[in-house]
Amino acid sequence: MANNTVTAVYRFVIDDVITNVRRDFEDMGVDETIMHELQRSWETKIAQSRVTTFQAPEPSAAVEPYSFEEPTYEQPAPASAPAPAPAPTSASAPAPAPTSAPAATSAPSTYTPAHPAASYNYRVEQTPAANLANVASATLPGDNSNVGRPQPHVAPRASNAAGNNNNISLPGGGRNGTGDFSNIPQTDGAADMTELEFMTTEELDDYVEKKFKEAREAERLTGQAPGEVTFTLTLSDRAARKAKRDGLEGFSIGQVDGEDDEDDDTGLGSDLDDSDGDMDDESDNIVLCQYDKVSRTKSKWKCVLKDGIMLINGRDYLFHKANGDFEW
Amino acid sequence: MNSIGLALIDSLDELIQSGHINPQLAMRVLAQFDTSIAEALSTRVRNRANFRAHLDNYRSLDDVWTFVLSNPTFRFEHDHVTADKVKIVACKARIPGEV
Repeated sequence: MANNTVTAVYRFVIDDVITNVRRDFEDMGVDETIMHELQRSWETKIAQSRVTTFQAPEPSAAVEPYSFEEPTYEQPAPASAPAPAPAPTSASAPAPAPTSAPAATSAPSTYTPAHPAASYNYRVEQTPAANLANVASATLPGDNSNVGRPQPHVAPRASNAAGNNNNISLPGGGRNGTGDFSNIPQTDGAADMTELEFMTTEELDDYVEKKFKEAREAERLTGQAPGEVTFTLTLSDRAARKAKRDGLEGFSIGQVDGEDDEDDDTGLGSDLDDSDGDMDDESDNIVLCQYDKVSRTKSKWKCVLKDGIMLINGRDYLFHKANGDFEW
Repeated sequence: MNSIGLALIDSLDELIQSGHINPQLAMRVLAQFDTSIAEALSTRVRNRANFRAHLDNYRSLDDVWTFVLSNPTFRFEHDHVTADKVKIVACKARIPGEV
């Protein structure tokens, strides 16, 4: 009995979700076929899990067969939107930063408001060059107040950093060879020059621009007012490779705050951090629900549960209300 | 996590991996799923159940009860199910009128 309900309820949930996210797909400029693909894939997985008698969706004529292997997605945006990306696949030749600046300033005005997020939603982070291509074609769409800001805003920091990197060294880290300065104490927080040492000016520009764009996107999504952008620099893959090539692998900052404490066996994840006993014993049978009342008299427990979804012996069951009696 | 939710997460994950949607959109879909399943459970499900079991372990933390039961028997209106172990995770039901 319960399983007929399950099928009907799952049908309702799927339809309800798909109906209600249609707007989100539109807002993000994601094509409707992707949404149908999501629905088809979801239904197939439920059918395959055999938790209920859910029939696999028949391949509908309206939904085109979709290839998951295809890495790129053609955005049906206005033809003016995507700037012709300069050699996006050529990882070896990152385009110089200045070329991206004119594109950045002109691109936003060509976007229609309906597709503000047009071309960077599907970006799969790959190579610096690919990122730069995306930056060039999609910097700050729909945010005209910030047109042109990225360059003046970030460039001084990047060039300063790159320009100074020969003059700064770290306590205990006299590996960069500027012995005269090796004893200057660092008072501005954790060492952040390791990456800068290994990056060219162009790489730095790319990196900063990328971070800036990510921050702008986050702001746009959260509806925050544009504000100051802060981010931390970490060792990029490329810089790491260069470091390795230069024999600087294993380069580390001297430890001046006492002995290593990694072996502290009272920390998180240690044997002592396991007081739950078999509470987290992963059983395949699980009930997720709400409780109205839980009471106990001596070793007898009673609870009133509601709106539950349970997986028992590989089948799903639902209940509106359930009374439980346990003995401890 | 329940089967229908896991299936959705898997599907979303595949679409993210293949670059067809971004994680923000996936989070929006999951948020909608939470709303939809809660609504479905409270408005579309009408059946009652009773169950008895031995209570192995229990915990109440931040208004979430967790019970680990052994040898439970669930009785629905027309059938019943037994298992050797089951874990129940129950959140406090919202009192009507309270946000």
